[in-house]
Amino acid sequence: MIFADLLFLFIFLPINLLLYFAFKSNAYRNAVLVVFSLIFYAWGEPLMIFLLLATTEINRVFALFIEKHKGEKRGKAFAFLSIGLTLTSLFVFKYTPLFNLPFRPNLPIGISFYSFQIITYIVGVYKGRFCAQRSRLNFLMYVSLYPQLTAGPIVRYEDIHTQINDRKMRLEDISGGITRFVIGLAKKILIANQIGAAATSILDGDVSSLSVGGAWLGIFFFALQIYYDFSGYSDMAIGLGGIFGFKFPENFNYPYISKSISEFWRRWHMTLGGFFRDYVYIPLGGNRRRGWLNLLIVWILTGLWHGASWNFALWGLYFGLIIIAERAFVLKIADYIPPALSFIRVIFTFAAVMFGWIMFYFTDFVQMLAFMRSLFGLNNNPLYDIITTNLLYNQLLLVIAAIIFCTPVYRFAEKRGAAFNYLAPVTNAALIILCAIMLVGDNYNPFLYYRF
Amino acid sequence: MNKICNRINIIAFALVLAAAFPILIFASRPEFSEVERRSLARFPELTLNGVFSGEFMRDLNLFFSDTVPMRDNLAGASSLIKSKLGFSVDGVTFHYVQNAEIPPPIEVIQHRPQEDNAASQTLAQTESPKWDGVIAAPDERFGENSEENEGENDDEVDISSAGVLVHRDRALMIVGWVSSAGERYASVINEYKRRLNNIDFYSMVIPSSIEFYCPVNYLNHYGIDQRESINNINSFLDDVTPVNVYSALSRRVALGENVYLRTDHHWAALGAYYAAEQFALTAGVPFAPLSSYEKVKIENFIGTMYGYSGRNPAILNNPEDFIYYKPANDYSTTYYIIYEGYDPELPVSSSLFLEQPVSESYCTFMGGDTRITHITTDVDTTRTLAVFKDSFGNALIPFLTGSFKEIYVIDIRFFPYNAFDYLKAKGVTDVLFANNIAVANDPYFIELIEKLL
Repeated sequence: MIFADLLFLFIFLPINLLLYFAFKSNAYRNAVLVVFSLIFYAWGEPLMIFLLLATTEINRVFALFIEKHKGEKRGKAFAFLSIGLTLTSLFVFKYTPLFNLPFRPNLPIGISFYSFQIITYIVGVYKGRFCAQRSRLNFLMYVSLYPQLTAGPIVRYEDIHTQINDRKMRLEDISGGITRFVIGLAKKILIANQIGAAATSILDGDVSSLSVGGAWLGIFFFALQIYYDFSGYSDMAIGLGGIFGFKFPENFNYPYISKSISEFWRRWHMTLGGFFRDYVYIPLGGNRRRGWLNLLIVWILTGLWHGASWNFALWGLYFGLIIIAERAFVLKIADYIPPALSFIRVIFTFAAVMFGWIMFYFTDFVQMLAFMRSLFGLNNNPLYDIITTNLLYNQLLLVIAAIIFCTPVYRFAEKRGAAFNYLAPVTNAALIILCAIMLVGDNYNPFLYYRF
Repeated sequence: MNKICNRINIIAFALVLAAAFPILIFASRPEFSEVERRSLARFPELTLNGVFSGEFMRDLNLFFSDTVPMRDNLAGASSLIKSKLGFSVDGVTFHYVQNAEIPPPIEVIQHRPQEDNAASQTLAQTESPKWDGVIAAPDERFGENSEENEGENDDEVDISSAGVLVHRDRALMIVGWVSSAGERYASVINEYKRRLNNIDFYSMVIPSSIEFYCPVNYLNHYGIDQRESINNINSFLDDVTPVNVYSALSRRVALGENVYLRTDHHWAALGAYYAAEQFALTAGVPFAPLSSYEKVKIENFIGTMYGYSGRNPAILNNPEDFIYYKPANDYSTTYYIIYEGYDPELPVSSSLFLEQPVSESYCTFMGGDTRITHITTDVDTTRTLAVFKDSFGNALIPFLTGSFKEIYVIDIRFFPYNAFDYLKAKGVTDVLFANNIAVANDPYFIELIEKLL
């Protein structure tokens, strides 16, 4: 099940909300959330729910041991064992396709997200940042909480552990959650799905015959699609969390206005970047020793986190090398650009990100290279063609809107415009109805990050 | 937001969900989409295996989203919204044009010498029974200056296409195929001829409308040269007589006649008439003039391309007349239904033209594809025709009732018998393969024809 689905929106969610708010006590509400989270998960992965349950229970028990033997070698051993088992499970279920092994298990939905969440919990208990969760139900709720289970953000236990037993249901949080959820839904259905269909029509074809303009347009459309798709889903997750009284961390902060790749990764999938920084890069030694090597390791892992295919490793390596170059000299040169011309840096950064999306999109290296050749006119392809012009014009208004909403214009309007706030109830209702209409009979409704 | 706004926001959200919930649960759900002309998903059967494999939930999701109350209206509204997201260039919009499926240039491998002289382009030669199978290049591409376009393919099965190009009020299906498949199509028909040597075989490959109506700017991209493809197939035919309908159709398009439907992926009955005329000339059988037929007009027809084009409003807002022609001579029609729940041996006497809902007017010809049709006529001849066809062939049949004593109409997808035994048992003297160009180049369909033998 995904959020941008009629069954979820108008059946699952209303029943869930009704039962959730029927109870006053957090304990009962948590039980409701666990039941609905397990249904939500089992809807897509009936058998893999047992892996989720087993992983959760094993780590809950291990955490209790770790806490009990805090400061002892046994505690450390349990921590390593717990993290090792979680990573082994992730490796077996996600990465065996990389090595052409005879068995190829199905990839459990959300395993990349809940594995990392569990690691933040184990490390936190080991470091004594918080107490281990004794309630089986509460810990299961933390791991399986459906708003963020399948596609993040990666919520660290310390982010919400106080909210598990004691969360206040404030009117403005519920209302804000609704608005955030509807914005995410609109980003996904009204923008990502529409532009994505056009992107697919360009990129899923004989890419060597594309015109130069067609190739650039295709990858530009994909850049918009993946941003609106993923950030839309994160908005929906954060919004749902808000409705249920949780405060999830932000995952996106207008990444396409970044002035460098380093900044881009501080704005894109922020919870993943934060995880790799705190749980891989810094433990490896950060920039104090073997800084460049640590960066490369982290970025290759970041790439591979997105999928069991070598193109993702290449994608990560690409960003790793750029960030190393930025630290070494690029940013120093870029600093010479006066602030008034900082848009030049934004354009260059966006171009570099777009080029990265090529490595992300094409799992087949032959296709990837053919596309890159088309991008620079090396396939004897024309500069532009009528098809490209037409595809752009067919959704020009949408593309303009998508570009505008990549900037903080909405945040600006929300803060400055009182009327904007008064209109929110009407626009939210209208948007959700509009989204529902767009979902009817729509056969293009993928979710790009669903399987990561 | 202040407190009141927050309250209103929550109430508004709750009201939308509260209103949608009972509608989606209790309102009657459609079982058939008139627009897409297909049965909608059914409620899945609940089995333990289905639940554990996740199939039950997937099918339930599909059922739920596929059968939303007022589905076609809401989907139409969705398409209208999509059409407002931008502008069209030269009146052209695309619907899921997959670059990958744009066919490669057809390699014409002529395995026997062909005369490619200008004279073969002439009307006289194209209408000659001794036509050599090569359609010569016309002086100019018919339709290049036309302001219209349209498409091809088959119902009851998935349409293999590279997307839909809508030019103003005409939707064109972009055809995809592999260049080597045409040779195999020809060799399969050759095999029929080899096994049934005393029967005369004919091959009619029917071009699709994008060949004639593709806007000039798009020719390099989607104006696939179907003429060359047909020539390619014909060059591999042995003792099978090709029927050139391409030239006749292109000429009529140039004259502005409606030989293709604008809103449907099929041709119009008028186009089938000109094709049947070419076949009659080739086969040397009598042929009744169009004036002898009773003309029937169905107004406000919106065909399959509305659905295939993603419910393009330009198609919805410009319905067309569906015109067909009833022959004047005496004939009787018997059907053998090849469909689940029907006995294929049980003859059903009926009319050659079966009334349909307006949106399914093309199924007026014999009620569609899922049957073998046997027609006996009052024509004074000993010749019996069998037609192996796709849905394009359906429109041909009424124009052949004045040409043969008996006609057996066989759809390549719905024929449970061995073709060799069947044709011998029925005393067939002539066999016509009448398929549209996508079928003649599609390995799936070619294999179907091969397996019938």
